Amino acid sequence: MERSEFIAVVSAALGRTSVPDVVNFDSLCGDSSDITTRAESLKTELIECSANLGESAAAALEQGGWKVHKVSTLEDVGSIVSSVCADSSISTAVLTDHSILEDANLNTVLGKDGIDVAFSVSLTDGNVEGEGRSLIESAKQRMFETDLGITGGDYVVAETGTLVVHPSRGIARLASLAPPIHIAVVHSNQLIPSLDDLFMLEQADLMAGNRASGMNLISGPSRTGDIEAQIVYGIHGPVEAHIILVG
Amino acid sequence: MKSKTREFRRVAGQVLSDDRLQRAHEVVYDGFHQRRLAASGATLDWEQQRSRGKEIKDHTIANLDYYLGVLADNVESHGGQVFFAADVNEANAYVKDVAQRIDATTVIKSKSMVSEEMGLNDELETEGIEVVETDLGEYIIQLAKEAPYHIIAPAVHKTKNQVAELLADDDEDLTGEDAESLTRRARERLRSVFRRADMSITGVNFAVAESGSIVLVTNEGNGRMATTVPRVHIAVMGMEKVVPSVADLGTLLRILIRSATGQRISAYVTMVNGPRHEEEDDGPDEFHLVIVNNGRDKLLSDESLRESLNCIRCGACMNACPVYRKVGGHAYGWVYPGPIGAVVSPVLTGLNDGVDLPNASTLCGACHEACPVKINIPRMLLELRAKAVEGTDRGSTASIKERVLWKGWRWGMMGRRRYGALARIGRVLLLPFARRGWISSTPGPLSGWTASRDLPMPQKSGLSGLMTRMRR
Repeated sequence: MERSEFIAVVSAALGRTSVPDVVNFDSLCGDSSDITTRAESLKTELIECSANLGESAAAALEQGGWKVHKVSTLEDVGSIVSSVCADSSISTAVLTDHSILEDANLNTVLGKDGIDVAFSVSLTDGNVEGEGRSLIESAKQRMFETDLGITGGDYVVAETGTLVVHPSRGIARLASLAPPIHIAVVHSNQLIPSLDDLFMLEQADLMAGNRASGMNLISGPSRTGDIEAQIVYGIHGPVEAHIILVG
Repeated sequence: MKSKTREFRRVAGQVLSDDRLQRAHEVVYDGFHQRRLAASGATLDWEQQRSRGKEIKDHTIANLDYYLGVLADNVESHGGQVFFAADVNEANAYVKDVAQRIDATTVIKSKSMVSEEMGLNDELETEGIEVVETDLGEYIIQLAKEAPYHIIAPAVHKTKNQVAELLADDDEDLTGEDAESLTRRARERLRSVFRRADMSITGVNFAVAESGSIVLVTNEGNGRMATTVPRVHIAVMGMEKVVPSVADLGTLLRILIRSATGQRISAYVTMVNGPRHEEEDDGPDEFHLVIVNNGRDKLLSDESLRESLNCIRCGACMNACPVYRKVGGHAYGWVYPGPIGAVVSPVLTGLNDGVDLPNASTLCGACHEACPVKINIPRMLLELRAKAVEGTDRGSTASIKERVLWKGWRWGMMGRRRYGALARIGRVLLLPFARRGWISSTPGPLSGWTASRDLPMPQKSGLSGLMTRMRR
């Protein structure tokens, strides 16, 4: 059906003959015209308050099934990753382009442990335009055969224990989904208090034209309760999810 | 999906006499119910969140024409394609067209109630396309060739051993395997499907008009798989799923998830803003959004029933309902079971066939109390009962005998003398059945009533007689 006909049916059901030009609605953010400025000031506030969120965030993360590791500096990240790899006899890993992974020198650490490391961007040669689909298809198969995915993140929501990741070039969606183990590394200044803060920041980004193709909220390992209501971890996504909070 | 709302009494009767199902109902529904109570209790401003949720939905539904236009504009301006489907036939035809154009051989599905309305799986299978449900519960019932039993837990009525039988390969016996190893088995099977899928069909929990995004809520990660691995992603939504703004998603996700499973948040919430950006490492090349009416305008145009479009499909009303908790999901005979289903299904599929659904309620109000967007379901059930008797285009559902009886009743109640005389006659007629002041069995049409209850014998002089004497 044509869009105009469809919408005319809806208008008629609402008892009107035409669609109003403007409908005013006060979203939680109120008027959206100055949202960018308000988001900026929220960001400044958030950096100040993130220091106090560590404990509540850790509790919520654990409740959601994350294994939480707190370290004080980036140098300590490597040993945590090494021990997870040793515990689960990891032989292949994929890393996203998040700078925190490079800062923690994980490529070298994993290399020393004899683990075969790939970057999500290198699986597609970093060039998926035009001929891209076949590259994406082969990278996808590799992802499903990899033991471990290591990613950074954009935020961690303290209210719900949620890692937030926007997919982009070098940040493959499958890195946090296909391998049976996921390790996320985030800095404690990336903590934000609530879902409302997250969606306010997201809205500001979208209004500013800073638009990712999507956003993933990850709150622990994959799980199901579909067989006799018993919770089992690891149905489609990771069986095990670790998060390393730095600083 | 073919409506079987006419068969409510028969299916309900079967389920009521099935002891195993009754025990399963008690464990599962009460589990959900208790977890919801705990989660909402732990949310300090729960009542404000509910009010805000209701405000958002009331506003959007009252301006649905406007928001659907904004949504379509924003999806299209970011590379997505939008199709408006008046009914399930148009929606099916569009999905089949896309599948044929891209030569799809394997389609994966992530839970979508609208696609159940469409009977989409059968439609695609007749085209020779493999369709696989990826939510574990939906996968189990697909293997069993059944309909979902509960909107959050579609396979709750299956035992471990029944699941084992469905998941076993030929000549294999998985009886006695535990839930964990059966889940691993399903994981391996479905991973091979994900790896070869070329198209996905998902539902939509919320569609955000202002940003042209859709939001999916899953625990298993199948929603993420479906929006990541295939070349083409088609999201199918009922037209009532639109909301105005990204900023409100916090409230909506909170009330949905905490009411559905009692979790603070589900393991995954996936927001899709369109197809993969060209330089990205993975994600679909095409994103389609199919917006379906399929009779929803009937709910919209009737102001007494419009509120039913506020439903965010959490299942809380079902878990709270004393009737649903006994008769289960299949008795309701169509896609949407339980209290909200008893409102929506009869309107979308025909009130004359589905009149048993609004009648199957004690009007106790538990659903209204549980609803995260405060939908007054009991009020609408009463509306539908009245509408069924007043008559639709297929006539009244009340028999001639019933209508004559009620007309007579009304006449009798309207005059004081008439009422007194009729009460005395009634008492004389009941006398032969009284034993020590109680009537516990009656013949003919009254026998049903006395089969499970006793009626005290009316006193010689009723309330009005007593009042008359006291005044003297």
